[in-house]
Amino acid sequence: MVEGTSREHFLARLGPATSPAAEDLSVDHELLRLVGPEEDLLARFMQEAAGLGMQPRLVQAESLELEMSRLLSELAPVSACLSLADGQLRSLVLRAMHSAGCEARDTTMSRGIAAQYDVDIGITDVCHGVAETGSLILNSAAGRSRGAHLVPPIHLAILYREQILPDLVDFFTATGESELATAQVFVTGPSKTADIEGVLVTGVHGPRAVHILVVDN
Amino acid sequence: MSDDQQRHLLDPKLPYLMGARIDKAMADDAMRTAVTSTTAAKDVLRKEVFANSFAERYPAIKREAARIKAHCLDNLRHYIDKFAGAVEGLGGKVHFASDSQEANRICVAIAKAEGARLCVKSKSMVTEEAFLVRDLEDAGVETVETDLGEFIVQLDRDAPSHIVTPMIHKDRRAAGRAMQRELQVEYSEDPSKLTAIARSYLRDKFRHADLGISGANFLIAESGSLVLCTNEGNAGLSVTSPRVHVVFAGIEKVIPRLSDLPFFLKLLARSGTGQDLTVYTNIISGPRRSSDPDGPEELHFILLDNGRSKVLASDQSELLACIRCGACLNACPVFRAVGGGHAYGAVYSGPIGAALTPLLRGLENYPDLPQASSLCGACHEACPVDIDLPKHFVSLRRAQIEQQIVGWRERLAYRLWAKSMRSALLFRMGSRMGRIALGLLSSRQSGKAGDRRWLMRLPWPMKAWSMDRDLPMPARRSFRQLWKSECGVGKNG
Repeated sequence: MVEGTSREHFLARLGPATSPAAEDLSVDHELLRLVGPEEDLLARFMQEAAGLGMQPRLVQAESLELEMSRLLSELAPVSACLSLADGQLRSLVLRAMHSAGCEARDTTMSRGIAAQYDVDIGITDVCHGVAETGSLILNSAAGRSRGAHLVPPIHLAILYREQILPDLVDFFTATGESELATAQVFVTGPSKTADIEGVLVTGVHGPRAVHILVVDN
Repeated sequence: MSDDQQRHLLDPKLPYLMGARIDKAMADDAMRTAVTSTTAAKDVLRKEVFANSFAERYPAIKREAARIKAHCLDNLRHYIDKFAGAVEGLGGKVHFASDSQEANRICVAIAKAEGARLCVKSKSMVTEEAFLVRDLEDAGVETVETDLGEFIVQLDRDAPSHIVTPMIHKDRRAAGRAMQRELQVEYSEDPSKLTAIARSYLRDKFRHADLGISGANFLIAESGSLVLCTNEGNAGLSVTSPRVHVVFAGIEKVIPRLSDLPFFLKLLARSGTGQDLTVYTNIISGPRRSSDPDGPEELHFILLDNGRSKVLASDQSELLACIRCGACLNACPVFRAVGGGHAYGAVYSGPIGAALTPLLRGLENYPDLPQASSLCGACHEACPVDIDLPKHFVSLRRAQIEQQIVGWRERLAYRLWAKSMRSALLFRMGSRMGRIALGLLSSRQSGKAGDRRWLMRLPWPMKAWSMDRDLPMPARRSFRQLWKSECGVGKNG
């Protein structure tokens, strides 16, 4: 292995060593706030997500299975990969898939991410929604896959109403966060580009369509 | 275009003078129109988006973001050290590279140790700065750019001409021809068809790649995290499928904490493309853990100095606060007039490039760049971290005079100018004589605005200077004369 410059030598060029007191920096996050907790977060999230070209659909908790099965019948995927941490939700999704005639592929460790390239849809839970931007926040921790939202051509996300945060700032200033997941991603719309003459095209490398079932308890 | 020509665009023979490329760009109306319309639209959109979101709070947010960046740069040694420690704590590895050759050697060694044959790469200016792709390909690793614009630029063996939108200088026909020629597909001018072709070609590459390379939008010192902001999803795929992920990053990318990130996330996409956020914001903290079902098993960071520590030690260290949003390029009238980034002869173009390149690569090597600004201030106004770019152009120009990079005739002219500005008598005499002399040299030009005379060509020693410049003849009567006659102010006025 080629060794680069030593750490000491490299750091020495950046000036004298400073004490940890150097970290004394307080910032005013409230300057950044665009949505407060008093707003109708559900309505704002639905509006923002739809404005980005995602397809949010509000469902009641008791009809989640039925609605999902209906949506899957519309989309007609042959196979799916799942990234769901909760066992109960996983069983519900599997039942919905079964009644829609969709097969679940094992895309975990044994076959690796390559298998995700062959499926038609990725079905994931999420950690948070953000009302301000209409974003979904996904986490790789607790057995969740890093590729399920990104590799298949369609992403279907399940978001619970109480997971919706008012503003991006609220995610970053939340305290008591446990160990940081290896991979977190904010999904703010379907994959898109405007590289060719500024013409907007969706579905470049990531999914062309992002469906969100927003579950109201 | 050959590989040599491609390299030459961003790494020309030094010293680099802008003249030849500007002449070529000025003659290429299609390219200038493309660059002008795209940058102007982005500039308008940026202003609208900030007015609609932060409105009167925006200046305070800019200042806060600038303060965080200044704090990082003041304590950069501490934060780089902290970042490296945090990455190692997560099971990643940090390499330190003094220059780009060293960075590329490290990267090639990692690729070889892994037996890598195919590398997928997401967009990164610092890898362009290091000419990494060429070194990887020379080492037998096929390296594919996966950002759509960069991919088309790579197919054409061309070079990116904008920090954010790399193929701003090319139109759909060029993209269609490049794909037809290199991928043996049917010619198309339809952006969605071209995008679909690229998607299917690149998915195969993502799937089989054993090495993924990304840049970094931000590095988080506290947690050892990498932050990537993209719209296409190519960065996510580049660093999810392959077994090894290598991050190339300049040292100035580090910020203290995750809680500082929203300042930059909320500024970056609004400034760059007029979006609230990019479609994908990835925060990656360490290689795959045993509980993760997928993700790379190895994560390497290559932190690059390559002249940055010199800038850090100078009184122009503020330039390292740049978050590469591209807003100053979109706002700059000079960037439009010269047909985009290639005229700057370096990886970083536009106002930020014109200020940074001479510092990174030598003022004597890029004597024209400090002049590539009208000092109108549009770049400063556009900058989300409040970098006072015009101030830096003036500093560089001063340094050119002091280091005698400017020729003796120009220095003499400045000296005479300075002298005449200090004496009322000399100023009056000088301006009167100047007006008479210029009147003899000027001519009436049809097609030029207004009914006035123009200075098109001046004799030696001003001949070369006047080749690229047309000046309107000064008004017939000076301000002082007008003031005296029209306002009837006393003789001492």
